[in-house]
Amino acid sequence: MTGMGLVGGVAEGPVAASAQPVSVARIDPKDGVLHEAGHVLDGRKLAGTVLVCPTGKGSSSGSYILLNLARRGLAPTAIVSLQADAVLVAGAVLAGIPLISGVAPEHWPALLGASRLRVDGDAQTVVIA
Amino acid sequence: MILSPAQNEMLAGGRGRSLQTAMRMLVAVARACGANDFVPAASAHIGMSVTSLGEAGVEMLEDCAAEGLRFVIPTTTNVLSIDRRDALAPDDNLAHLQKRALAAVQAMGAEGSCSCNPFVQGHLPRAGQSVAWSESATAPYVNAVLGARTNREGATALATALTGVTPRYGMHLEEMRRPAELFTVDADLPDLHSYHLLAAAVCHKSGGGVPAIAGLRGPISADFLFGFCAAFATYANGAMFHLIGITPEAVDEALLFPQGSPPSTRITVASLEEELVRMRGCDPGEAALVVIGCPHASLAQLHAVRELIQGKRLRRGCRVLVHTNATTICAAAQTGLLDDLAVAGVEVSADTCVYVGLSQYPAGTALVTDSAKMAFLMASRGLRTAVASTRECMEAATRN
Repeated sequence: MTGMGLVGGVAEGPVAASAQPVSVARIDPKDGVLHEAGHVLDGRKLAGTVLVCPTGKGSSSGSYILLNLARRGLAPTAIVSLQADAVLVAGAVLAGIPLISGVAPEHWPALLGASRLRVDGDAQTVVIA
Repeated sequence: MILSPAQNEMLAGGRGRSLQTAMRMLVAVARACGANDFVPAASAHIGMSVTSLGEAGVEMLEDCAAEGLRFVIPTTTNVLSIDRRDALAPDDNLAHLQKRALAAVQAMGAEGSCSCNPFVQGHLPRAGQSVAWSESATAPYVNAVLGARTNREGATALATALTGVTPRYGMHLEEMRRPAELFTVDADLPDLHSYHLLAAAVCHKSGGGVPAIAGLRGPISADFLFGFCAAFATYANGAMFHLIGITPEAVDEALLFPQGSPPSTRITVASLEEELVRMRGCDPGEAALVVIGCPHASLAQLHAVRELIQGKRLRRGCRVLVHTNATTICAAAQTGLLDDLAVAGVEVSADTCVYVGLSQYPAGTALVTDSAKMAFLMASRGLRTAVASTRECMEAATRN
């Protein structure tokens, strides 16, 4: 599968998938766990995962949260989205997290259902591993 | 994407690592959002609280300063995690980190405005100007009320302060500012409180497009308009609205909807009451904390608090916190207003607030505020919150 590689680099990991937008500002920078009551990823540790979500939402402080997570080795290892928003994109750049946006909607169910993904931000590809 | 030679040089790293990161951020956001080029920005308003920057964010600011970078456009700063007047007091690690962040941006030429209400400090982007302002409440005010242009910015505002440009998408495009929906207000809006309720009602009935709102009569005070904007930014993802006959891009309904007006959604007294019920997570009478000034209170709002507390005493077990900036505090100090508030037991803070501050409040604490935004944010921390008018807030905090 291909998309727009917005941040380069190669990474692979287990998938943390959400069909709802994700607020990265709700990830606790101390342990990498997302806290948002009612959200499908509530209580999930996102450190080391490939985060698959349609787009971001919520506070613009999310960009700095990603940077701080990365500094502590607690950030998602890659991000795949349908339409990445400015907070997610700026945060992925600061944190050096490979980010692919704009994957074709027909591939979306397969990405949400995948257990492991390999993301190449330079080649602009996502492969089910 | 079209980049100038200077922008290409930054992107390639020829101007140092920090400018490369800044340009990478802007180019990546531009590509994600479909922008083909940049627009020059007239000013930037950057996030400053250490609770969102974290240690890594502060170190990034210090790296920029250490490289000798200067902000290339006028740059103001948002709210801090500490009271500005504590700057010389003994401190813990986070307070120290906050001071380092402020020192770094001031070395790069930022105005140390440190407020989520730069408007009362005279920082007013002009109609038609493109700017990059972080702090979600300011974006709708910049766009709708002032007729200037900004997207809702975060770390990207810092990149713009360093490079002078912002990607041309969203609010910088004429067509994205056009209204998609029409609302008609059929209710009196006598105070700040009613504008918070109006914004909530519009957002909850909206399909997500830019709303145009008819039925309001001007003039409306800047405080009321900014209150509306803060609540609007709390409940909507957008950063633009039109108040027909009031805001500068909404001279009249016919000009706003040249193809004819869409069907209008009515906002009635009952709609506003419905929102109030939604915003009541506790009874105002239970308040342990009463918070006024989100966004930072104006001088007029400080006067209103003094008037409401005159002849009364604070109820035992209830604190009244009024958040404002050092600019407004200086003005209040000169007329005795600040002393009057202190004598009445009101705690006035400079350049900070309970949401970004370093104090922790136990989950379940009853917080009553005249700001929908404050209520929403502190509820996300597990406090029980209620929105009430400024008058009701002060009644809840006092006894005769």
